[in-house]
Amino acid sequence: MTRVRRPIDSSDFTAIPRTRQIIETLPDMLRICPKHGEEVTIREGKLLSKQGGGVPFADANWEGCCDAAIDRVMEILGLIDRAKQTYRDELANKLEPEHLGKMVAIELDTGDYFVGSDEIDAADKARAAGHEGSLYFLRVGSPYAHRLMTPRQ
Amino acid sequence: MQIDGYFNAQDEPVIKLDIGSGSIEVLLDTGFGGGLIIPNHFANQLDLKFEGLEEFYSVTEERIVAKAYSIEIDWFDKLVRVPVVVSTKVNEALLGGQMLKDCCLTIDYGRRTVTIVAS
Repeated sequence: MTRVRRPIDSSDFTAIPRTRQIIETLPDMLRICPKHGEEVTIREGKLLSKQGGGVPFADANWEGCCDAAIDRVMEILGLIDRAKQTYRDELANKLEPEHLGKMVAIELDTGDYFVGSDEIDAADKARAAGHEGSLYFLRVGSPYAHRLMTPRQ
Repeated sequence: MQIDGYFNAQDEPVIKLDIGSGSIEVLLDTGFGGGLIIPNHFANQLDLKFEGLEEFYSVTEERIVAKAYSIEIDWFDKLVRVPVVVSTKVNEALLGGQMLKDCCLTIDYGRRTVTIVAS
């Protein structure tokens, strides 16, 4: 099967390790193409002999089985970034410190948000208000939902 | 009301949890702030309701995006809906602090007892 490649702008090269890490942890339904069953990845080009203090490769590409698969992964990464940005720019001031430690569900498409005691409570409030889109959960006062502090193999 | 657990073969505190059609052994992990995490291979057998996505921060400074679901489980003889995350990053089921918020957990390494008492 022919692989589809889409170039990554050199200004985004430094974000590649983190982006790749997030892609690897995305649920299979988002990371793997439902039509062709293949993963979307990021692939760096040939290593440069002279880095000149920059990144050690000249080019990097999104790679996948089809444009739709790459689009889906890029879209979900964009939506997650936007949800976090929405929290930082708009919600943090509204929700902290009153709701510190509670869970906020941000609808990825609209940016609408709902606060609950946990994911279920927040999601129920979103659904009750008629929101059917994908939700992204964050803990108020934290850049993530949970910490998993026991090392796992 | 009380749930009694035990120490597994790795000397870790665990309980049996009635989840869906059967029961599974879950590790009591107070280093995890969420409800339940189950590995991918358990998920296929369960009646999970998808709620959204969330991100974890691990001890190895990894940020893990995972699917957040809810599931009905038997908890202190009541059927309750609790948050559960399915992840490829764990090999065993974990029960975290969110499940214990109205409970007293006692792990007595000397007497080899594990108990969760509803407050």
